[in-house]
Amino acid sequence: MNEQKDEKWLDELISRSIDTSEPRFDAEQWKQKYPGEFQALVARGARRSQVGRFGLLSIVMRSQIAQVAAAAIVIIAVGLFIPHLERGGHQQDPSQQWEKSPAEMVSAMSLRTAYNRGGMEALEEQCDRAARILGQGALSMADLFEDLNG
Amino acid sequence: MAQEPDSALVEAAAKGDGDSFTELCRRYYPAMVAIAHSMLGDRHLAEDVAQQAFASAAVKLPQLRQKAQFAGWLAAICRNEARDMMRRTRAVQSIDDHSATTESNEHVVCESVRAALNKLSASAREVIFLRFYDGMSYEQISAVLGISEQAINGRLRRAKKKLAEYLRRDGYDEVRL
Repeated sequence: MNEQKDEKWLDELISRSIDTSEPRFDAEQWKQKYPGEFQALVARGARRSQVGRFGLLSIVMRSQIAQVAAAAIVIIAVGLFIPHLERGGHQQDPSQQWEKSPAEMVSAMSLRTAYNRGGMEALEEQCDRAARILGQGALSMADLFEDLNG
Repeated sequence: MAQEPDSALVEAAAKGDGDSFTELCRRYYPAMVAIAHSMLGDRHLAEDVAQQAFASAAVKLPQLRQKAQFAGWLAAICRNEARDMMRRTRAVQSIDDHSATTESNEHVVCESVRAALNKLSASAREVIFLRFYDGMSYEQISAVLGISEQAINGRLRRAKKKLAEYLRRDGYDEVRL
């Protein structure tokens, strides 16, 4: 026998020796056999239509790495924000004060903040600054009250 | 749906489209049965394993990141399921005999071929089963094995040469591949 004939003969032998007829997939039978798995697949579609951004977030947060990363971000953000809060609560940035207009500097809220910060001395100082900006000389509290009372 | 490319079906199935998933099952059922059959040697067990592989795939589909590799991924699941089945049943004695009812010369020859097939490496046996199972294209075999059609031909040729060698040792001198 030549090689081609041998190969054909071998092919036929293989085909005869093993059952190589085409298997047919019966989808309905499979669904009945594995209802849980099929429902898990289909339910994914139903869930997907319900979940929005928060659903996506909850899926992402299932990952342990994502949880650790989120915790780290929160800690860093708090760490950066606390000093800023402390600065804002107890002392104002002097440069910010100079940026205020004279009217703002003598408003009730500004004066109260200055009083809280340094008592009457700070109050006087703030009034002086407002006066300097307006081009007037030093302005005492007595002058201010006199002017207000007429 | 029968004309849809695999990638579109996999995308849809991953989003929960049951029809797309069952269409993928229909397409790859012969390949999965062939793979399991090559490992287990039993056609009926192979069909059970292929169906079990689809059930596992239905659950694990969201974990598949590269949708284009669905066929190879499914084949890997099928091989794992077949190994589990082997452990459970210890059924890998020999490739099943679907002509065992007759004690003819034909039966003896087929028995020799099955014995020779059992001696082949798992990958060589797998490519033979994939190639000889009906209803499978080279394109599908290529997708399942993750190799080119040319590489399939090469692997198939080497497997058949080895098979012929085993048959010659068994007294079939006429097989010269």
